[in-house]
Amino acid sequence: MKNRLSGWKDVFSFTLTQTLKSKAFIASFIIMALLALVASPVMSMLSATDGENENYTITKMYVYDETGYFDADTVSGMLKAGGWSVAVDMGGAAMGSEAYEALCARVDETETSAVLLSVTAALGSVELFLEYSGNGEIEKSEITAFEEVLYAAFEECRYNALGVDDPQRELLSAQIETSIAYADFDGNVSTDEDTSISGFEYGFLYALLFVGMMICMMAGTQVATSVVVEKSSKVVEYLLTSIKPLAIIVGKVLAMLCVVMTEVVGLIVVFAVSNAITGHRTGENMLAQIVSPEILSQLNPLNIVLGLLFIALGMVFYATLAGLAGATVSRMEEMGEGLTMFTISMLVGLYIGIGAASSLLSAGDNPFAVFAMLFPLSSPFLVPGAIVIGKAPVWIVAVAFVLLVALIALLFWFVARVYEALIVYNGNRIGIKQLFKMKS
Amino acid sequence: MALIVDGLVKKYGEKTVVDHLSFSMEKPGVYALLGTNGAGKTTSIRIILGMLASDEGKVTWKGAPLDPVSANIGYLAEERGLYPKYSLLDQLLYFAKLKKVGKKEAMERIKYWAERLEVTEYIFPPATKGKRKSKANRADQLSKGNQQKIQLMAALISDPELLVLDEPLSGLDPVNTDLFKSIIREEIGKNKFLIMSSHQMPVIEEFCSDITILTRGKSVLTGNLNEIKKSYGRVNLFVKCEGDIERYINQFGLKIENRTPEEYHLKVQDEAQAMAFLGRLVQEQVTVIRFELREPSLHEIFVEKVGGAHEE
Repeated sequence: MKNRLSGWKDVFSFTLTQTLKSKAFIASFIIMALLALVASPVMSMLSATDGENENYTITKMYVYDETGYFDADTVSGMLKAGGWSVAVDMGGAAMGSEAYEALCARVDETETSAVLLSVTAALGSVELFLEYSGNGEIEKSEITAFEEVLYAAFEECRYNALGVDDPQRELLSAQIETSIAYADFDGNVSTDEDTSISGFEYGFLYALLFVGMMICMMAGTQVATSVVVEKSSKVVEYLLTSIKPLAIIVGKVLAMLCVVMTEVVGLIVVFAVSNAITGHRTGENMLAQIVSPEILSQLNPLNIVLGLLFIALGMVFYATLAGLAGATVSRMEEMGEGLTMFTISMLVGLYIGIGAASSLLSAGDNPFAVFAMLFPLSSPFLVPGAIVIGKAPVWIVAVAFVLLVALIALLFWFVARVYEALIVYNGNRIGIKQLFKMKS
Repeated sequence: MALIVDGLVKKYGEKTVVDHLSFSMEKPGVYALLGTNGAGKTTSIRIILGMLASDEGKVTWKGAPLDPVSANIGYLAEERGLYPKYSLLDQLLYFAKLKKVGKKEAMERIKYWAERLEVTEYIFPPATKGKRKSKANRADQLSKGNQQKIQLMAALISDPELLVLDEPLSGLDPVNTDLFKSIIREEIGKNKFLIMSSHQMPVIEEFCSDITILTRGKSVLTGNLNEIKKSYGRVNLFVKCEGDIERYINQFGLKIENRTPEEYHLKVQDEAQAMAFLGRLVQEQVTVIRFELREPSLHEIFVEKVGGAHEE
């Protein structure tokens, strides 16, 4: 085995150096780093634009209220807190339809900085209908923000009108959770807990699934390209007079692992620095606006290391598979066809991961999700996210790790047997059946 | 024995591409592997170099199974291979590193061979005016001949004990052919073991002491080239005379192999018959300009050995 791996370090250092020196890598890294660098300031600017009140133009609001809940003082106060200094005219409450239409025309044509609000109630629902002049200075973004404040203000008016105090309000707005308990013949009571994940957690899991898949895809494709270049340019024949095929694939896979990990860690660092600087200047943590605080609180070093470990193992597995697939073809033009096996495996892993994430959202903990976390094709994509949202207990992480490592070892064993014959093979693409025949 | 190739067999499915190939090299020199296209030469070389596993047989080098990782072997493949997009110097240093040659030593050897093969300007391009660093050359920017020179450098960079050259002179112009030949002579002079495969029979005759002729994976002739030739005897007679000598040829029952306006190429049974024929010409006062009796050429032996099998 030592002899089979002898020289892998030389392949590793050469592949790593040449990839890091390549224009394609440098260009793609610079582009991604720039995106990571500007992401936080841009988000901050956008959110500042949303809340910006210096240019607000609404100065008056006519109110036509059928419900009788509307309270001008409460609404004015809340609008003021939102940045609007608006005079509220409640005179419209007893308006007839002709007067209402005249008011509409006035708002539309002459009083272009005023808005008209009609509050109507029908069939158990209340509608807030806001009208403004399309010819005036009121921007759509302003009216949208105004509408949000108005909604909250009307909610306040409604509680006030009904005499609901703070404790009652808290009770009314409290989230309702249900659970079912059952007792067995011995009188032991068990409770069915709601273990489903929140929308935020689902979004996080889903995003990490794709990030993991993209990383493995990137590393795999680069390894396959490198193998095909060596085969098609016949360099491999020279290499094989010095080292064994297994050393070539191990060196390449580990070099790509380093390249992609360097890229990922570099981008994380750039984003973190950019986020910290933006936060320091604006007083806002932009990351907290994208990722929920619950998830952020789980992002401790151990979870990050475990997550990166799974992604790294996934990369080793998929990159080795891609290297094997690359060796089945002799020409660059056939690479896409040769990578079918690799692509299908990756898609199977991804879809199982997506299915598991959806099942966690709708049904909570379930056998399929456990299977997906243990299954080596999907575990590299699913487990990192599951660790962070607390859906991967220690035993699942441990078993998934062992299974993934075992599959990688099995793949290396297989590669060691067929790669030697594959690497000098020239001709039509080799199918999976032939590959297994080669092994035997 | 330094190199022993013993009973190599390689099969692809039902097809046997190398069929019990055996030969050995006792002392330094050049061994030739000859054969028609598809005879199994390159496959045999790949097995000898440890790139391919054989189904039967073994290759030993200095008493132990030949291991390309530990043995110092140089290889110039028939289908030349260099990384098309990487700098030439980077890849030569990489190849040297794989052969466990230190960087300093490798740089010295690269400089030596670059000068010897007249490719210094490609490996160490002069700095462009106004630029701090010169732009490195890549393999895809070189001509085929120059790529072949870089490939030969890669094969020689570890100063190998065993050098395998698969069609080393194919595609070279006469000037570069002479350059490559001088390097091969230099390596022979250093007491190296060389295995050469070529379709250019004069080249083989120029360098090789022992040969194996393969056809369809099987060895049809193996041994020392001089002895093989001697075994055929001196039966090729080249005669150039003033006047027509065809009637004397017919009287002696000699076979005309070829006839040009200049001379006859005849086949004789033995040297005595040739001498008798010469005596008759002298007796008849025919002016003899050329009378050369020699062994068959390697080309003739090759055609005789593989021609029939090739046509089947």
